[in-house]
Amino acid sequence: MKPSPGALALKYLFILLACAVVLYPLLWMVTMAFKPYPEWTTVAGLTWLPQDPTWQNFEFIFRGHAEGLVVSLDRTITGPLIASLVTSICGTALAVVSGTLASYAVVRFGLAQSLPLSVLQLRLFPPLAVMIPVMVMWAFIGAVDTWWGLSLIYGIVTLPFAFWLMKTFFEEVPVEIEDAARVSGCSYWRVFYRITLPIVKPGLATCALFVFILNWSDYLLALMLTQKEWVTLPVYMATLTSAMGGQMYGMKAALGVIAAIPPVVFGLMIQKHLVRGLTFGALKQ
Amino acid sequence: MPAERFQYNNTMSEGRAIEGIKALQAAGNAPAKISMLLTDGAIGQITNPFPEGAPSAKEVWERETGIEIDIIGAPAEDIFKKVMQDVTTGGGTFDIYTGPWNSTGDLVSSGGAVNCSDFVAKYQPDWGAPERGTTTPENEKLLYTYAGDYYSFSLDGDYQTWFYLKGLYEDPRVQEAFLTETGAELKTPDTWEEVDRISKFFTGKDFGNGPMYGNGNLMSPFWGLATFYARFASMDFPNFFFFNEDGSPNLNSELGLQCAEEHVRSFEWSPPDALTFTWAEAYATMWNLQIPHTAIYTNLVKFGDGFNPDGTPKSKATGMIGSHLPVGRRFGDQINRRSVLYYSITAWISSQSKHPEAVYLFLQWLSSTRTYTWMAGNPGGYFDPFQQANFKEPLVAQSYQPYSMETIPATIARSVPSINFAGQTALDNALDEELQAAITGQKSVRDAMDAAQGKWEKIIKRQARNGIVEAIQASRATWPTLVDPA
Amino acid sequence: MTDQAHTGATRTIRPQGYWVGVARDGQKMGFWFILPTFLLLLFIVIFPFFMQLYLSVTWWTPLEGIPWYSAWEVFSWFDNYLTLATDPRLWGALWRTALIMIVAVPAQFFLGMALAYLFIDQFPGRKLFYSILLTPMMIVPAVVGLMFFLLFQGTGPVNAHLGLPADFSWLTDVNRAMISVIIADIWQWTPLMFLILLAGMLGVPSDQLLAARLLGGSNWQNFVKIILPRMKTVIIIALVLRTVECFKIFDLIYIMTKGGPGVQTETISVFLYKQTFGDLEWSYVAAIGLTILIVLSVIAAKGLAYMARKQG
Repeated sequence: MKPSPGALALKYLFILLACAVVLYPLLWMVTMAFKPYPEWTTVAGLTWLPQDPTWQNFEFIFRGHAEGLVVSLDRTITGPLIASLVTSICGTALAVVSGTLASYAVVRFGLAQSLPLSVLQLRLFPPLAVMIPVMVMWAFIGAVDTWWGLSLIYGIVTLPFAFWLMKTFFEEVPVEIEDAARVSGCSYWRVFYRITLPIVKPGLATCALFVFILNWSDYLLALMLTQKEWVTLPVYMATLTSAMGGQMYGMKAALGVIAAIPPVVFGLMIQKHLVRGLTFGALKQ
Repeated sequence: MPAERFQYNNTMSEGRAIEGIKALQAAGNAPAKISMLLTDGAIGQITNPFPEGAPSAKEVWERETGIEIDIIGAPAEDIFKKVMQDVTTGGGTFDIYTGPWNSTGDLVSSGGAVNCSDFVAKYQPDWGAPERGTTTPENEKLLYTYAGDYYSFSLDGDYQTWFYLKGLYEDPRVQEAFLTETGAELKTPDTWEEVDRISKFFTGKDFGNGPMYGNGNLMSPFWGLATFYARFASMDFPNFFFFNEDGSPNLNSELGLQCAEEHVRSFEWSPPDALTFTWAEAYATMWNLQIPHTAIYTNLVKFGDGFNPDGTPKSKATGMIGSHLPVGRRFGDQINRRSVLYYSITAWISSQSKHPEAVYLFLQWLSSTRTYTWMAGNPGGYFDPFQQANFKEPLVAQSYQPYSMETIPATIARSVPSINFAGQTALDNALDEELQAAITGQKSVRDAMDAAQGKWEKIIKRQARNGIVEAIQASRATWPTLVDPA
Repeated sequence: MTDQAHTGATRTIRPQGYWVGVARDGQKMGFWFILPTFLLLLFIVIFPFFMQLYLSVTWWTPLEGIPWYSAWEVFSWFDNYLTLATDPRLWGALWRTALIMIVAVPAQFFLGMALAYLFIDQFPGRKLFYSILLTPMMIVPAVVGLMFFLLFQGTGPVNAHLGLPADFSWLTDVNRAMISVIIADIWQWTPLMFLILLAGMLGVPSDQLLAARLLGGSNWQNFVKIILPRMKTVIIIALVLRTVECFKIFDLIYIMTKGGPGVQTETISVFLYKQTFGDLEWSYVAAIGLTILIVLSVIAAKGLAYMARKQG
């Protein structure tokens, strides 16, 4: 059944409108990243495109100083960028691996039936409600401002997400397939590794993407558990202030553009799995 | 060192610090690196070479001692949160904390700062030196000590100082319009009443630079408290204290309410978005000639008046700015002009530092009158002049303009301290929230002040066993009594 | 395939320990599989719980000048809990958090649903539009906060493009501040809703859709009668997920308004942050944290039990 031309036009209109709403703030950020200081604030008039486009903002955050700027930075974006990548990837690995294993055991072997609830509770409450003991603990074990300390908390707070997502995927894998493999003599580990995991691969990829985005997005935990060496991008962004101009919007926007790259690249890499991965878990009912 | 007058020898404060470091190094008691948590807008003042062709302060120190200075930036409004985080978790990441002078009490009570009295006795810094150091001995006490001991290193002079668009005030068109409208002559104000009259007049007027807003004072959360405290202090003669002798707050007293009402009303004349302003956005309004006057941090002039090295004017307001004494209220034939010391970047030594003595020596070197004078002129950051030697220095005068060299010391002499004893953060936050509620119209001024009074009473009750009432009483003694003839 | 057959099938592939007792080495592997998660849970739960419990019955704050483990010196019984029960600021923050959830989550849901519905079929440009619509969830919330902070300045682009005057403030207006924050949240998280719901819709077997269309129902009827019922689980997952995350909202608000003007956009997380690092009321925060923990745990347990009952 073909939709009427009117309906089709309406559909495109709605979609285009949605895209415009999505792009409006993004474009403002991207163009801001190329605007020189006098154009940051809109007091003097508003322009979409930079009147005097410049790489100054990018140059500044990567080199700590830039041609024609009085201010300079003691710390460039390199450290925070590495910190963000390392801790997000390690945290994601921790969450996805332990979440996958545990959810498989719960689904297949019927072990620890109370685990889903406990894990869910972990995700429910705001981190700030337990931040004080966590900070004390992290300080006690020497994990403050270390890559592993931040990765550990990232792994813990995103574990519930990985666990529950993977749980829905495993529930979809027909037990008959695994049974057949068992009968033909495969060990439990082989069944899991060779049969089940490949089946849930799209789900696993989707899960990893979501967990990565969650970790990459974090501001609060890094704000409280890092001080200097392992400060992440969002925390670093907040420090881009100068005595003279206050907030360095151009530099912050440049940083925002850079910060968007890893998730987008990751997303494109697994794009073919994305909807399929989600569909997989969503199929039941 | 760039110039003769910044040179020091062993008989001077800086020289003693360097000698001390050498002795510590010989004894194997000095670190290879000192980490400093610093408000991000000040970093350039330590790391940027100044003046043209000379090294930076950091380079000089590192060359003389071989001890590396590792600076970590944090936003000014949030830096004390970062400090408390390090103190309470025992992180030990920093040797030096910096933050608002007001927070000294909180930091000392939490055990986060090193008591430096012994070091001060041993190395004799020139903070209070006659002719060179603080303007008065009381001022030295206020800036460097807490409860009788040395804890803090003053690296700033945030005495809210009045600046105005002199060029505009002197414009005959403006004068005539003002005379017609208000029946009075336009001149720099002596009282808050006159300030408000000028603010009201300029709001909506266009003298060729677009529509203006009359009130340039900060009204935003955190920063706007300074404006309120300055107005509050002059409500009575010679001073109107925040607290009574017995420690009870004065917020919802008759005069307190009147002050809050005036403060809230002045928001009518503020620029749009004034409630999201930090100092920097407020500066920009004056540089763009959008406001006629403001009481604010003195580096407004450093960044916005005068010329860049390439000869271009720093802002549209270059050459138009002037400065005047703080305003007060008329009592008979006298005026109690009052300003306030608020924020003012201050350094403390972390009690977790492994080398407090070496760290102390670095801070003594940095805050002594020669190094500090040299640094104060540097346009790379917002450390402001406050020592007598600063005001005699041509480089400082060049940065801060000659007209400020008299008004700033005069303002210091008439400034009251904002709250600086343990519990300060909670007290300031409580008042701030209620003031914001009143400004945005969520509450009536009376309700807001009643609520703020209640919160303050509660905080004082809770902090009573930590000696807050004694601290309040001690603080009253540091208020100026100087008044001017009307 | 009828509904019955479908649920029946679900039951056989969820064996609730189908292999239990089949072999001991299976159990053993299961044990090792669970161990990391179990250890992480223990690690993060035990100490914080007891420390919260301990601090919450004292008056201790970092200003006390004694270490936290000596907090018994300022024992206060249940003072913090009494304060909590009558603290208008806490309840205000809870109410505002609820308000954001009540407005933002349904808005995200309906927008996401509408978009997902438009994306079921193939059409020219689908892939491009799809990629564009997903970008907001890839942007760091702190950056989103900054973007909307700039957009909503009185002299900023939103006012200019809508033809509003510069003194039409968003972030500092008592009511509009909340609206701005909610708009930003909707902007960022509608894409996630869209993605999950689209996945759910695509999961509805196409033969069922085709059959329904052949029977001649209108699109709307097909949607309500065929698609919606089959998406029940997905819808619940999407709604629960967003509600839970929305409850914790912090970055966006802290960067856009810091909870202001006054406390007008102060949510529970922003409130806790200010109490922890601003006012340094640690024992009070401990009491609040523990209370939230208990209340949410009860809700979660009840919710899961309810879902299990419905499915079993």
